[in-house]
Amino acid sequence: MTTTTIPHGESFQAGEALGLDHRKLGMWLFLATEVMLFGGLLTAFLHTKLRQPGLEFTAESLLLVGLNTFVLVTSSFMVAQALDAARRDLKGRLRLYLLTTGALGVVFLAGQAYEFWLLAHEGLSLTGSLFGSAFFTLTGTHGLHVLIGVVWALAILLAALRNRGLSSNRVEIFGLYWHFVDIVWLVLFTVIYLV
Amino acid sequence: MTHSSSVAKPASQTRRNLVVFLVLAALTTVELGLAASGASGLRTGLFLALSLAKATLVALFFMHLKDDSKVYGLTFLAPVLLVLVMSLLVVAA
Repeated sequence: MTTTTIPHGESFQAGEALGLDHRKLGMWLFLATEVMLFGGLLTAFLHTKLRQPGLEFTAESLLLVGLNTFVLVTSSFMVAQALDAARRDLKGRLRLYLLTTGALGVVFLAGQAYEFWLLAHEGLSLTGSLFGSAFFTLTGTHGLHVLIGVVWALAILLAALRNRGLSSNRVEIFGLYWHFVDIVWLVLFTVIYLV
Repeated sequence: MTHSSSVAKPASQTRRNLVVFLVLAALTTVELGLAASGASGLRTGLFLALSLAKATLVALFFMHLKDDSKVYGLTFLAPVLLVLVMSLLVVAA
């Protein structure tokens, strides 16, 4: 019996040195920087909210945001299912789950835009008050992340439709991003609207 | 010597994903119910605990931190702890 040892250089080039997937590690490192970004914005919002309470969210607003939370949680489930389909080489299901994810992302963004419109009619604006500034910066940054996620989901869907060799790793990396955006929203939902 | 052309597919994760999704939906419903009822008392602590539970579920099962290398989890957890400390300092100030 012969033992084959893989030189470090080769395993590095294969993207798996130290037993870690480089692309996944890269995404986790990116998400770590994102935690700091949202952490800073969230702390600024908390600081403002505790000292200058801006407005009480109405029941209608809370219901809308609650529905949006369900939408994003469902989209996370869809992404988890998309990865499952990619790993099991179920191309049809993969396309369906990715399409649903993108659609749910768009629904979330539409809900957020409607909420912004409602709040604007109540007099809350980006520049009118410290609370408005902190609120719109925080939720707007999150919305931008959802938008990027939607574009990313559609790009992967396009690759799947063209029948290009779509690795499950690519879906997994996207999934990490999308689930992170979901986690951020779960925290924002609590801190901004419930507490 | 025989060759098998089919490679065994990984087991489906649908059941696990569905259970996690249903728990997340249930916890969100509880949050909305609590918010609508206007109940006071341990409200803030309860909301934060529910939020933490949901985030943990997503990280462990949807992001696979439960099964993956601990390195990924630690990479993510370190800045989360920093942000928690930062937020607590702001609230306490």
